[in-house]
Amino acid sequence: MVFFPLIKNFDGYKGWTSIHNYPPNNWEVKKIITKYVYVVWSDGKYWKFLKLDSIEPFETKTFFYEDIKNLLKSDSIPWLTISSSENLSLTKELKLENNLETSWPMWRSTIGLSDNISSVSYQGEIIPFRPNGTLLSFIPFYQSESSLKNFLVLFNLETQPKLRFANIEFFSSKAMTKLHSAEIRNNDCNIIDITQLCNDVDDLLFCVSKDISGVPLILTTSQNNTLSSFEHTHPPAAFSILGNRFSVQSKLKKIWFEKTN
Amino acid sequence: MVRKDELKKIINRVKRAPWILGQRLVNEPKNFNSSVSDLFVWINEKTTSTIFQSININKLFEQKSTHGYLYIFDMRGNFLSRKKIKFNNKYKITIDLSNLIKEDYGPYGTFAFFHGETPIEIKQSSGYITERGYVGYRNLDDAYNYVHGNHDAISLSRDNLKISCLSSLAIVARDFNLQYLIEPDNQYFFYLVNNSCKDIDVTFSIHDGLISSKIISSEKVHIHSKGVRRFEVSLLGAYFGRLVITSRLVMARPLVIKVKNNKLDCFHG
Repeated sequence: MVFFPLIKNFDGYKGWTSIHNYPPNNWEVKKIITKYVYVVWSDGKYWKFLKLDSIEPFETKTFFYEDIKNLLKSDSIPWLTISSSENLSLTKELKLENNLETSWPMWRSTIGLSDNISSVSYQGEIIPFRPNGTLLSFIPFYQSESSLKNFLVLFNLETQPKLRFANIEFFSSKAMTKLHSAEIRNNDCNIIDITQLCNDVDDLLFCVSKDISGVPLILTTSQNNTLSSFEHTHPPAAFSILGNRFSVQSKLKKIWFEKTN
Repeated sequence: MVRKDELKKIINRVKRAPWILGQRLVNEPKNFNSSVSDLFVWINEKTTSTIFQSININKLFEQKSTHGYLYIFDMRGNFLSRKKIKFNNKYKITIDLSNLIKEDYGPYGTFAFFHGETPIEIKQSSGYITERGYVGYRNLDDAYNYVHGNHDAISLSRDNLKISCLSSLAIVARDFNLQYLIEPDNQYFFYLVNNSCKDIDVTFSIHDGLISSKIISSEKVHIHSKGVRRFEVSLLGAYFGRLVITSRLVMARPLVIKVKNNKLDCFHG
């Protein structure tokens, strides 16, 4: 299934996600039908689904983190999905297959943060990861000016509902020194303050986790509390095209995991 | 006997064929000794400037790389300049495009960055090194708002310095529906790059966000190969909208810049 993340509220900013009931292309879908928006969360044993609303053809509906979170009455993190099925109920494992009518490009939502003055967003979706993933991510667009704050937002959604913790570490490529480490949770939207980790504009900050995978995004805000930038990093496979990109990614991970041991 | 579900799959494949067959998003460069890059958008206007962050990919593989080449094109895809950029043994480089764009280049255009070498691991995988780096746009002295590269659009043969666009064109025009709600009272700029080797016609249409068939505005433009066109939208009052791009581009994902209270929100469709 295709899921859409919601960013947690933090630092006075509100997280929201807009769901769209129209496909990205006009050649895979014959007729657009009414769908249903569900909130999905893990109770540690099962994935639970709660129908939130219907969404008509060509309609967009925006859901705010605080409204959805209040519905759950638990510590769990909410995820959104849409389906033409009226009755999605609990399951022991999230399915990997695409439940929407288009496969290329993927069906996306708009995921953002806002305050009264500014907003930032990206077009995204998330397919659940298998629990044995790892992470290597280079962050060349870290903004080191003293007037700015930087955060890593890491979305992790796994097929299994079991909750677990993992470690993420941040390094300087130039000095090969560990700059920071943090505990993160699976099936969660993890937000880590990485402000002032790296003040050298020629250095390349990177993060690794040998226990967990995820979608890493860098959020930059200014000290006068306006939102400035929100973009995900590429996985290492994106350095290569047309060959076996995943063998390239494996080799790069091997090099950099050894360096960080 | 063909089973019913197998027959359904075959029919589905036949129906999809006119939209897929021979219409690859990325064609293989003709020369294996090539470097690939996205065609990024530069903007050089009174209040908006552009910066580019590239990772020294060879150094990540512990291999030596001394330089790359920056190619700049105007909005019509005409070649403007080529500059050798040295890595100086750094892991990343920052290129301030606004320092390299001359006034007569126009308000916006495209650029590519080609790495001078390819790591052995990528060659052994039968692949090509590709630059999908991060472009930052900013308004005045604000912080940069970054957008990642989105396509493997163009190649440079290191043997004969020939540039080739890598995207196919579709047999028939298709719609790309940007899954995004355009809100009233903000300014939106949609930039579409033509990464095919032929010039194309493109229609940008703003549909009513609530009534699918009602078109609020539309504009037909011609985009040259390697070029880019901008489509501006400001909806007033109670109108919400959505963007439909009709063209023969296999993937017509635009760069979107939303301006609200002089703050930018930049992302790929």
